Amino acid sequence: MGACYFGTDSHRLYGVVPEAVDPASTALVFCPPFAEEMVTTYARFATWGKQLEAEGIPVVRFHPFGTGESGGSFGDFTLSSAVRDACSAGELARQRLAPTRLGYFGLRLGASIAVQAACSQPVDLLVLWSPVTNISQYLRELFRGLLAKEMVHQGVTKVRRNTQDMVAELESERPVDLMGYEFSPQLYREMAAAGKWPDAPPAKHVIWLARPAEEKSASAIVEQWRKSGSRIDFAVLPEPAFWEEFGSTFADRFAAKTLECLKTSV
Amino acid sequence: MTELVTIRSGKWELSGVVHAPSVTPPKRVGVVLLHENFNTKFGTHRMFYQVGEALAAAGFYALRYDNRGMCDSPGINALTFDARLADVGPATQFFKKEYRLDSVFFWGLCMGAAVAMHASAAMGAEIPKGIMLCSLLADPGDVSLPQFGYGATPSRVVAGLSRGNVLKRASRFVTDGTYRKNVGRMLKGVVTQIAAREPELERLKKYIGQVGELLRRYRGPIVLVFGDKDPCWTHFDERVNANDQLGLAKMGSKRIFLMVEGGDHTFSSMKQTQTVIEWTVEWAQGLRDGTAAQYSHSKLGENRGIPVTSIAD
Repeated sequence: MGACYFGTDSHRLYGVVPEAVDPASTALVFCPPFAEEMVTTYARFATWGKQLEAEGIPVVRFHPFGTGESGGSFGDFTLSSAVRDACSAGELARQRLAPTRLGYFGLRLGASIAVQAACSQPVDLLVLWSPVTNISQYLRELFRGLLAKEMVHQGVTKVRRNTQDMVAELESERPVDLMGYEFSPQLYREMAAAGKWPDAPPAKHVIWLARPAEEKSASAIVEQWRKSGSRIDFAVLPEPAFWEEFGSTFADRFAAKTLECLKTSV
Repeated sequence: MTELVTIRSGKWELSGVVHAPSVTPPKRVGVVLLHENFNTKFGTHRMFYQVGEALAAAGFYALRYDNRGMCDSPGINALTFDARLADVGPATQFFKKEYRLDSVFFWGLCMGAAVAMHASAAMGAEIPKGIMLCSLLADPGDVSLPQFGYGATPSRVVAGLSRGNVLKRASRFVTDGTYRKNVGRMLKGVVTQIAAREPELERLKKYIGQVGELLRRYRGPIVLVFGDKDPCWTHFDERVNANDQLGLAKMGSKRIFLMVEGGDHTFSSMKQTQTVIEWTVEWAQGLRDGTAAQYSHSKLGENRGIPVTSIAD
């Protein structure tokens, strides 16, 4: 397993690639979730990636431009660049691991990015954990979460701004400080305009794991996707929102179900 | 400019990143950045990456790394304080040797700050020339907070249960069925929590409990940075160094406190982060050049006899 830079000088990306398995039947590219969710889950997904590698399923992890160890500042992060970066990481995985089957694996907004990446660069497999199916609603939740966090962690007793104020800032082409992350007007425009999910799954096999709260919104898309004839493994499992805080608790049910589906599909 | 490095630490390999200045400076000084608990080397809201970049732009080398078996380092290892301590020495030696450094400073956040204090005490001649401690974890009670993920400790549970009027509670237990039911539920929860606690928690509490004494003993200069909304600051001020029991006030310029107004534990706003970054660069420049650092946007005040510098209005 080794860390490396890839991409171009002006758009340098960071990735971690497992040792080449000879030959890898299935390899995954992990698309991390958004902002602090990427940080809180980082160690746990790194560990799980190593465990999957031991099971013969190498996982390439990468940091979208503007995040983690990749170049740029967070203000450079946009949905479209994250999708392109996922595709570049897919190419890296093909070059280094030459897998028989390649898939994207994502958590939360990372899962939504994985779907878009698969639409622009087809893969065999998609593993989606608690995907964000309504990005504009997720955007509003992010803003509301920020205001709540300011009150809890920074002891703010008076509401200095509300979500409408933040939207007004962004629409005036000014970035917003999202708990230390520079949230750009371009990212706002993309998230606010994010449309429906594709009518057909962009992969032959999809593993979609949802929490009970997400079942309703997920089922509507899953039902539509099943009509396409692709294999859709959909399960609703009672996992905590483990991305909300640091800790050693992992989504063990999601992990076990994913491994089971991956092994039965080979 | 960043470079990816691999550091040997015993039988483990550590994945690291070095920020290097674009022009070789006359004095080659490096800063080892020690991250928080269950975290990776770029840090919460990418703070460590930004600190590393700012230090490199100011002519310093900065090293960040993932501990043994964690994150991007190969292998799997449960994160312990001992493991973190074991990695500091090899990482610092590697950094000094590979980058031909004249001296090394330590910079840590939260538990990384506690690691910096313990590691510096164990390093002998290799002791860092100066340390900056951000949101220092020095109160052992804080390590059982949920965000550290180690479960509950019996002593805290017992302390919590023994508060209030015991007789009143006993009489209510006898007369109130709902109260009895809730007590039963609570005890079940407490037992589950205690059963789930990890042995590392007790070891960690012991290590964190020693940080105050190490702070007193270290002979070099230390700068402590806290956010005034950070519970770790309150606990440091009221429990660890109550009435200046560590004698930090007598140590003059060797113990400087900087306070980020409105700052939380991880300085999670762009303004707070920028303030900490500026102070970090000014601290490192002052240490390197042997001059007293002038911290930007700051004003001097007092807290229990200790000079405290906070952001100017």
